[in-house]
Amino acid sequence: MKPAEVFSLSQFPQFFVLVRQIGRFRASCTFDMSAPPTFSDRVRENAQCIAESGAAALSGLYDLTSMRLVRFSVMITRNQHDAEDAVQAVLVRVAGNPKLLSRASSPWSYLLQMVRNESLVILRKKRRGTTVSDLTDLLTRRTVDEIEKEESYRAIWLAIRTLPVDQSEVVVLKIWEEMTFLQISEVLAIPPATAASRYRYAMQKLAIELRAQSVEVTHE
Amino acid sequence: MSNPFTQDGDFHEDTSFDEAGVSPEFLKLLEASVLEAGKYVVPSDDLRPHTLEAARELDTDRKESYSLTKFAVAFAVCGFLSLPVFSRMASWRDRVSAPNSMRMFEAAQKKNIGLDWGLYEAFNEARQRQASQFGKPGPRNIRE
Repeated sequence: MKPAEVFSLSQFPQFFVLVRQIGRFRASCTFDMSAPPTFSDRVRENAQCIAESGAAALSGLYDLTSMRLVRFSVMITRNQHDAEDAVQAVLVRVAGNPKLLSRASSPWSYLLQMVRNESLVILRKKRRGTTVSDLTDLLTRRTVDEIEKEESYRAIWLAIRTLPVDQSEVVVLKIWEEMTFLQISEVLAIPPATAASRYRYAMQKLAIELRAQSVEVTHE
Repeated sequence: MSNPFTQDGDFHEDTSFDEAGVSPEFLKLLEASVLEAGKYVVPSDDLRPHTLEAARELDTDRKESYSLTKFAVAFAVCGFLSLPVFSRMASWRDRVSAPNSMRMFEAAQKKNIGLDWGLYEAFNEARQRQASQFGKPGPRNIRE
């Protein structure tokens, strides 16, 4: 078969249009590697992918944020099942309207705010008490080399759960999300000084609680 | 009183931890331990498929309602645009349609040449009238 029979000249413009479209799609859904993006930038890029490709692109945002969001929501709802409900509701809402995130000045903070609001709504509906005496609702992960640390992890989670929600959410944002008090104040809509004082009280209580449980506080 | 916050929104070392018997060294160890414990809790395995499925369903519902809305709008626009066309066609109907049998019978009686020839004349006139409206020459009168 001659090459002329395989590709006719009339098909070339369509071919170039297709290549250009694929290039645009890949450019919109890949990260710029020249500068390391912040977590908030990555959230924004995933939201832009959802806006361009539809709900099928939600998996990227889920993989990026689900663990952190569930962890944050568990501290508010005090129940993993409710926390996952809150996270699912928020991510589905984002899939329906991804511009909520892509247009936000700080998408990660905005997503945390959404999860916090949804968690508070669920908490109000359930009217559950804020103190939990065990961790039976939590789904935990243990690797072989961390089995000996499990007692320590459980003690820390129990101790954090004894804190008031106001304080435990500041601890989560400060330590696990590595936010500054200014960023925490934006997520929680409180002054930075209030966030700092809540953190201080929370850490004092945690120290006392963990000392009382004689938990070995170590850092490797 | 000095500003306890640094420019990036964090705060300086605070001595109030010492007052509660928590040394800065212990605080750092405590923060590190809490940080390490953060990976202990994970989402359940079925959260991912549930979330993606719910998002997909929402997307499908939205697309369907969007298509339905587009169809309804297109239908309404077509209906709106067809109103003048129908009124125009109604005015043409009288000109284009053939006269009914009652009219033809009345026209034949008015000729006063008998019912057979009267009907013949009436039909012949009706045909010529239609032909002139369509811009074509009418059929020739047989008697001519």
